[in-house]
Amino acid sequence: MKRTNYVAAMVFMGASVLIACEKEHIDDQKPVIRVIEPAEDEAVTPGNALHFEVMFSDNVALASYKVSIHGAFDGHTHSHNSTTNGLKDDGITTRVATDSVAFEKTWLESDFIALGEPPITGKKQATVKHLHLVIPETVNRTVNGKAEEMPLKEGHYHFIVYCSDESGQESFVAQEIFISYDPHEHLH
Amino acid sequence: MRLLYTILFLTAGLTVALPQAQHTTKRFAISGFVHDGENKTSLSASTVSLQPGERHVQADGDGFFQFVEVEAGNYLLTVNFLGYEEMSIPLLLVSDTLLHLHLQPVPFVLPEVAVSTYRNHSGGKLAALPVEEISRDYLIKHNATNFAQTLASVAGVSSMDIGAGLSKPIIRGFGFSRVAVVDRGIVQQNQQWGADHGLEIDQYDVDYVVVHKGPMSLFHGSDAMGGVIEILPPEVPQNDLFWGDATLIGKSNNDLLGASVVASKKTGNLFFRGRITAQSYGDYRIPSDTIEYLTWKLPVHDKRMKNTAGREYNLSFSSNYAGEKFNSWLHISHINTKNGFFPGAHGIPSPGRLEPDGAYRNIEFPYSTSTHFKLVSNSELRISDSGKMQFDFGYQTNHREELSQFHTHYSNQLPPVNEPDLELQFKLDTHSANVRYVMDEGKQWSKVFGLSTEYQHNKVGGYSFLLPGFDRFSAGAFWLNSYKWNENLTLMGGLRYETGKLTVDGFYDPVLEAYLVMQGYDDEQVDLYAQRAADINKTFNDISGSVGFSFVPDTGNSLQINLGSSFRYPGANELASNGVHHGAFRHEMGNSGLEPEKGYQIDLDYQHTGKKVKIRVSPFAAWFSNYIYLEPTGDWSVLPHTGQIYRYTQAEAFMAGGELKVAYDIDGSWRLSSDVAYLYLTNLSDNYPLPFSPPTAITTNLAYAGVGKGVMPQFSLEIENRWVMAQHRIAKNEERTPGTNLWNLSAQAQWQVGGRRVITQFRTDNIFNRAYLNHLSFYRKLNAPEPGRNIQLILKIPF
Repeated sequence: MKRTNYVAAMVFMGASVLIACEKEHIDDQKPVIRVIEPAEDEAVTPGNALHFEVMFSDNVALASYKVSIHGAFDGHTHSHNSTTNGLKDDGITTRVATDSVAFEKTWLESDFIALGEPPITGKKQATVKHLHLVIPETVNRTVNGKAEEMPLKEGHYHFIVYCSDESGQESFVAQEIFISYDPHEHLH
Repeated sequence: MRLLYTILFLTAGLTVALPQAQHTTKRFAISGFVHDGENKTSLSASTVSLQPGERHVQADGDGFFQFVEVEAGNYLLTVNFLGYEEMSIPLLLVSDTLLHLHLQPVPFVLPEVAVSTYRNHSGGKLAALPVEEISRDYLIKHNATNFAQTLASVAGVSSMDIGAGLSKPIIRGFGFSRVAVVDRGIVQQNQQWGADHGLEIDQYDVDYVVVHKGPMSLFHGSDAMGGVIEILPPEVPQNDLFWGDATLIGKSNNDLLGASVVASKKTGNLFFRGRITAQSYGDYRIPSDTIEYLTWKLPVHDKRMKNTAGREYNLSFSSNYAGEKFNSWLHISHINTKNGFFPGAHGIPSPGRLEPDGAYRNIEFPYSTSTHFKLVSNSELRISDSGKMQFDFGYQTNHREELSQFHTHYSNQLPPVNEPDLELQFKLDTHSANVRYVMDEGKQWSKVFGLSTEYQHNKVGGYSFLLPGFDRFSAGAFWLNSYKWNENLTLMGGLRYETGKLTVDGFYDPVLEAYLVMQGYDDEQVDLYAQRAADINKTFNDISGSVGFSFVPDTGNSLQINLGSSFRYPGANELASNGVHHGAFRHEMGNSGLEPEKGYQIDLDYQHTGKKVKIRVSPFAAWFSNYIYLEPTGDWSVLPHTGQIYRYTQAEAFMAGGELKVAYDIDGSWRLSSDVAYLYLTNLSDNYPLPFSPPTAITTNLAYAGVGKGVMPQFSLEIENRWVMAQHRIAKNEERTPGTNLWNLSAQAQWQVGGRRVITQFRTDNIFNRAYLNHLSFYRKLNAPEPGRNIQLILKIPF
């Protein structure tokens, strides 16, 4: 009995020692993103550009970033906004998808590098500024093989900035922007 | 396949031809006295049965009974006496044992009940792995919202929760398709298919569960890598009888109301049982009125998680024919659930979506509905004194849908004409068949030969796309042995050969193609994204096995060591899928080059049973040559709502940990017990921890069991502390989770009301309403706290 006790204790301790000796210097810190512009809920008129300025930093080394704008219309509405399926929502008759179309665009870092922005890869800190993201007045789409040019749908959009570091850690910051010809009619 | 049969029969021939060695095994006696629990008189002629082994004896005039020549091992001892509550106690036999059993009288006259169980205990005695046997009584005492959460009170088991309604079991950090739930011989389908699929089992219809920790591929094939949760059929009384009970359930946290009614009838060789369960619950409460997510503070109105209400309706029916040579079970079950999803977990949450909708029990978009139908047949045919055949056949069908008001990121995607809000649909048919030949059971060298096959067909639908349709066929042949070397030592081992074929239906998304062309991407880029699933046709083979021993040196100690290998076929999602996982907000990409996952594990299980102290320590260590996981590629996805593309990758992995349990009987009534579960899971290719590593947890219990008089003949009280450590060992892009310390209280009483034995089970979880996060929760990434204080009452009324 004593011997079995001893064996069991040894195995358990062996396992603990094994666990304690881990060689662990892994980077488990995500990069940090600070969006300076646009401001939360900033309004922009179609046909104009959104000014974009952001600061990235990481404890080891940054890798790259991506910016995405898409409609914040999915499955929910901000009272005056339409849904795309033409159903009634909250008792308000909504516009059908044949009226206007949500704008959607993703900019990769390579798009900004092509415009002359220096790459952030390998840096611990980088500021990306003086960038202009153009919000068009119309959106092209092809439905059932038919190309059409549709007016841009006004309303709330998500503005999301992603950043990754060299070890594959990633973070993102999401905020809303308001795209409208009449930014004063900005209701929530 | 033909070659396989030949090998099998050759081996069978060999083993039959070998002379049977002498019986030298040391056996023990179980003896005891059966008393009346109230006036301590002895109960002569009570029936005592011992399972497994199907041995029955009657107590003599002094209430004394004895089983002699019983091998060491785990047993269930059941005592029945006319007019008394049946008593069942699980026991680990390691020495001659004397018991004093106190039966509680039932005032109304019941016909004499004796138990004759037929349990398809696959492999329990054939592997030297730690098992936890869980009875109906334990399940009632630890009752949580669903079966997987109830099991999470067992050391080494945790649950991955989607709100308060759906959960999946995790055994030692292994989850999804690395854990198999075997319901009456058939591997249950559902929880392994997606992050937000729960385990669909009616927890009130479970009588007896065995949790096997460790590699069980040998017994159940692919998917049983980390362990198996095995649900066994109900017990059947020997005498003709009609009985049943109604269970009423109420929970305060989510205003759950539930009822489950069961009726059973035994007549001659036949037994029937039917059960109906219904539960409905509202939005669950959290001890916080805001959730901090990203840079936003999201309101939680009335501290209730919006739209997390749900309901479930379950029906089940079992029948049994028990003849002298033939015994057969038929089980049919139908589970139907509807669960709302917190709108913040689908898409980027915004305060507008979290505005109260005026009701707490309503289920609005987004929600899931799920139906699981299962038909299982288990039969056993005794062929000779030393051999019997066992057959399991199963058919099950899953039909799961996720509904969410039509939404798309692709301006050219129009809502479908039919069912415009059906986002995802999953229809899976599974046919299973197992045949086993059990030879020389209970003798010095017992063997089991088996064949098992499974065929799956999956179809998908909805305006989104996640998992491709597929067909999967697998077949395996296995050979298990248990050899008693001497009275202290039993050797166990076996081999399994398995082959599988997977065909995935490719899917090229024309809507996404048109969208990407419009966005100006080149053909190569467009193809990379629009090919949502690749056509795949793959065949896999595997040989796995295990060897182990069970050593019982003396009456108070037992040691088991097992060395086993396990495997798992990559799933259709891991091989072929490509696109944004809407729950995880990640672009996940399959990898058609994946090989079957292969693991090797050593398990040790040591138990010391003293007069007052019980200690059990079960450490393990495992090495995987190619663990499959999602690795960030560093390449951005151009699709909205996603960051990097995550690709299924294989890497060497190391896992270790285990459980330590100590129990101390202070006196006949008070008992103190504590357990620790610890895990260390690491990816050896980059030294990052593996995702979803459960944190260390220490559970301590102080229980009092008393015998009362009059209206409350039996009662027990339990106070529990659950101390969960912080989890700082996180995979890339996981969040650290702080620890917590929770107090729970439970009280059970048996009441003598109007000639009936009514059981009440009262429980309070999270007494201090502490806000804490669960590292494994589906809502973890939202920083949403787990449910707050919950007071629940279960009332069980027999009829």
